[in-house]
Amino acid sequence: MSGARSARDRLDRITSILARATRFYLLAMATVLVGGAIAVGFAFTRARVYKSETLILYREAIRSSALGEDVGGDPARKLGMRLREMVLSRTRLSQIIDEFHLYTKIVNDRGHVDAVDEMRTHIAFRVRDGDTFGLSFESDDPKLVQAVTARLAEALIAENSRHRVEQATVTKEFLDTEGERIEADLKQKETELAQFLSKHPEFARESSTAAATVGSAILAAKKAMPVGVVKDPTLLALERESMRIDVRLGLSDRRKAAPPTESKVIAEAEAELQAAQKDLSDKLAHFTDQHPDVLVARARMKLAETRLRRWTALESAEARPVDVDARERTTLQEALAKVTAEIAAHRLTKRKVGGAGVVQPSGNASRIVAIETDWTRLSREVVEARTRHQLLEDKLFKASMAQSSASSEHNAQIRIVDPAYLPTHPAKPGRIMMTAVGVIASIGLALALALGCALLDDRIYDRVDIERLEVMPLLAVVPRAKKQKRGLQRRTEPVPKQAGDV
Amino acid sequence: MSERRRRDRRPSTKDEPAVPVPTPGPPPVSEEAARGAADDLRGDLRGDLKRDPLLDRTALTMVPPTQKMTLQDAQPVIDSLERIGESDDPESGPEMWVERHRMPSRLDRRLVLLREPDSWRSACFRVLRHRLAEHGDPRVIAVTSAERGEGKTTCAVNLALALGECGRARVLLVEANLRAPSLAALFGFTPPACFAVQLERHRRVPLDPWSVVEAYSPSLHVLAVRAEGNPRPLLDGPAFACTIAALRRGGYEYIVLDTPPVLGSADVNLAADSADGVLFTTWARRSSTRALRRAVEQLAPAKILGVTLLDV
Ligand SMILES: Nc1ncnc2c1ncn2[C@@H]1O[C@H](COP(=O)(O)OP(=O)(O)OP(=O)(O)O)[C@@H](O)[C@H]1O
Ligand SMILES: [Mg+2]
Repeated sequence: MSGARSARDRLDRITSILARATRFYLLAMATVLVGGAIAVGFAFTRARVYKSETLILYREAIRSSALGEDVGGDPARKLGMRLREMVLSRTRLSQIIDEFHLYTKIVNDRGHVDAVDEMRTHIAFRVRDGDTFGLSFESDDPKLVQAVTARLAEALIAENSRHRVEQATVTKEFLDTEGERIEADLKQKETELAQFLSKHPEFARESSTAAATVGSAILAAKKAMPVGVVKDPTLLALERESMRIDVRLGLSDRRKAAPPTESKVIAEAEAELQAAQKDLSDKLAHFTDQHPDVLVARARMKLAETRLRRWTALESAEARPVDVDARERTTLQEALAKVTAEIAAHRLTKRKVGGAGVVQPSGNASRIVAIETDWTRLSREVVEARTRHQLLEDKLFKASMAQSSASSEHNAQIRIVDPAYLPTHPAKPGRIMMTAVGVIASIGLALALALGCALLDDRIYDRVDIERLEVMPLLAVVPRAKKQKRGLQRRTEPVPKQAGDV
Repeated sequence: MSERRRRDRRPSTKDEPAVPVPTPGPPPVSEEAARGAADDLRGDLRGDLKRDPLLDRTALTMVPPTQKMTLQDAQPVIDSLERIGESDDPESGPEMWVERHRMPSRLDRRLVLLREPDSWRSACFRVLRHRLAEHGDPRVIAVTSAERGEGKTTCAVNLALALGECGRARVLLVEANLRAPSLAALFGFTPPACFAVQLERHRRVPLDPWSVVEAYSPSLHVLAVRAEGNPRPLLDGPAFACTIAALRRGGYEYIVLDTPPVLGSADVNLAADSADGVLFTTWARRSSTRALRRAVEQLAPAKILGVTLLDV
């Protein structure tokens, strides 16, 4: 009975379970019948549902990347989610429910909140591939379905453009105020620099950008100067001062001939302006005045213009010709002589003290260093302010672009590709389909039920069931009696004859 | 061959008022007289008996039939008092009143070995007989099942028939299911004395002869319970054990007990104590493995011979 199980035993076990399952055929048939009846009843009593769909396309006439908006993540998905939120927005659906008198029973019984929830279950917003989206609504009246779908799409478009305009305006306003602040800051810095230059005209020749680097180099050298460094900073400062005075003295002669050295930026700006002008004229030749491309080209030209204007203004301020008259010349020469004398004196004291000694700078030398430091700071601040200003200007430009594109009719982002149609057939699944699904499901349920009952059924059907128990040996299996058509079967075996058997 | 004897004592039927018994008991008659009386009532019966080699072998002592037997039962009946077994010692076993019955024209469908002796079903019971012989050849076999209607009676009757087939052994079939007896109805006779009543009486009169019915085959005797007016007594364990021991001594080679279902009473536990082994029966599509397991647990540590599966 026990012992190794052969494959045949396992097969027996499986067939016994299957055979057992077939014994529950009545239950299974009843399940199928009941399930089928329910399916048919459900399919034929359920109100027929109509569905209308509109296909909308999300399209940007001016790519947002061109406008500098960051397009991060999965744009289609993100966009889809945003649009879905807009479609399902409570206030909007509430309005539509009132407008079309939808779900009046729910509105009366449970209020608008529940009605909106109910409506949401009947709205489908599908993200198709690319930038198209399907918006559908279902209900039991085909005309109503069409109207509501169209209205939903309309509402979505309105909401989206309102949202965009709002966003662009807010950004623009913010950048405007910020720009004003930075502009004022820049102006102040430039005034300070101009005042400094008028006080110390000898710095005028050093370009503000170069000054920023030179100045920082001086500062760094001062900070990091170890004891016994060969070059003495005081000496260096004096030497530079003498050099600057030298330059001013010599400048008066060479001044007129020298071409402006910093006009490279200006030249670039001019080239950009020309390119922008050409672009604009090109675009104007092809498109109308209101076309987004024209708008872009125009904006570009405007930017180039302002940039050029600014640079020329700066250049003229910096490269103001230094007027050196005779009287000033003598003062300069005196100052030069003084500085030279100071350098000599410093060298002398230095030699006396020895290479390693630190020589206390004279009053004049300290003053020069302080002025240099001031110069450096002012120039750096101006450069920084300018950079910031420029960055903001770029942003401002993009924001105004976005604003104008948002408010422009031409750049409508959402377009209706397929308007809502009037449904002629009820939506799927149809009655036959529903019935079939119901019947198939109930067949599956019936099979599962029969199999479950077979597994739970612990009755003995076959020798396998006893052998599997392994509690005692199976001694005999007596088959079922054959059904007999004749009511009686006479004994056929010669049983011991009895007394009186006549 | 046992010596022919005749006793003045018949199994008392005092407790069974339904059965009209001539009082006092039948007068002591000679063998001649007995035969004469029998001949009077049933002409050629004696001749039949004489002619029957099996009956000659068992050498029955004939006694005059009672009125009840001839009038109430449709079949011819012969009463005999005999001692079974080889020994002459009167104390070696109880005396038996044997009532012989003719096979009726309608047989219960559970009597497989009589209805269809050539069939595969009968063969299965013969196989069971052999398998039991292999499993230690138990002499007292309690046939039981976990629940009602699982073929205990069917199996017990056919096993008893198979064991005694062709006179291979003397077999006694005992109805141990006192609450729901079915043997009498199955064989179609009314036992002259109810087994339950005899059991009760033998507590007081241990040497009283037992009244058994010879059911269609000289090698099969039946101790049946009368269905009508049965007070549904509990099985008297010690008395039952003594009875089985005495009957064994009396010359029966096999004793088959038809018991009640195991679950729900302790009767089978008592019967199993007197038996050499317990044979379970299961009815296909009806018996549950859970009940079977619980029944086996309930009978432990009785010796379980095995299980038969009926009606597959
Ligand atoms: N050949 C047959 N075909 C169909 N049913 C049968 C057959 N033989 C017996 N039965 C039925 O099977 C059942 C079991 O019979 P049986 O009397 O042997 O069971 P049991 O275990 O002795 O029952 P109980 O517990 O009542 O004594 C009975 O109801 C009987 O009618
Ligand atoms: Mg029974």
